[in-house]
Amino acid sequence: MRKNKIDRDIVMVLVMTLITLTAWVGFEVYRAYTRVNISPVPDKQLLKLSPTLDIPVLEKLESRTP
Amino acid sequence: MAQLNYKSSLAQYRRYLAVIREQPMFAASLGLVLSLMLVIILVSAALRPTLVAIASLLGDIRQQSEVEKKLDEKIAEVTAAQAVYLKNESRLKVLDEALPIGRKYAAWAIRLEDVASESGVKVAEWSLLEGKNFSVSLVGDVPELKRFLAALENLRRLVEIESVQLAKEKELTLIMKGVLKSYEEKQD
Repeated sequence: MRKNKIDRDIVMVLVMTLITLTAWVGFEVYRAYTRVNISPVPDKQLLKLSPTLDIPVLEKLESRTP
Repeated sequence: MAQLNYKSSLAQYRRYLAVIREQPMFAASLGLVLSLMLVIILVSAALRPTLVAIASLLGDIRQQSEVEKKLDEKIAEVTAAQAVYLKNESRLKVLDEALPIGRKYAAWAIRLEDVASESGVKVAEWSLLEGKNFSVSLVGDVPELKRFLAALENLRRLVEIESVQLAKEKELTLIMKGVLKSYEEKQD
């Protein structure tokens, strides 16, 4: 009877250890996935650029005296 | 003597195994404990580093894909802008005249003097602060000054007129203060 209780306790400890270990691995995996490893690209290089030219403004300027 | 000890301990072990066989509950729990221990060792020693390495690589791929997407968009925009620039290249010199790179005050002052002489007004005084804030006093009658202002308004170079003051002493004097615009100022 006493032997069975010791066995049950050992199994309980091992199961808890496994759960803790699984949670630890889960957090480690999440941290590794979200960590920034690549060298950052300067924001200036990623800045949006509008490829359109305001032609009416150019026409207005052309109509003025140089 | 040692051989005898060996035999007696073997017999003891056999007796122990016989007892164990009679207690299946104990045998099952021993198997369970050993299995759990093996799983714990495998998870911590083999599975964790592998999963972390895979997640790290997936994270890298995701981040690089995002940067690549943004850079592709930028390249497409630059290519489109280059096409627009080449199409309108000959017309863009008006932008240099309207908003030149560098203050180019002298060129504008000469042009203003030309406009003044064309309008019939006389430039009485010039002053320039920090290469961009100017003040100019012009002498002439009302129609000449109106002609001058109309011509100034129609000039291509961008100028911000802050104040215009008319004073009547011996002659009618127009005092004009403003800021000369240039591309560097826009960048600041």
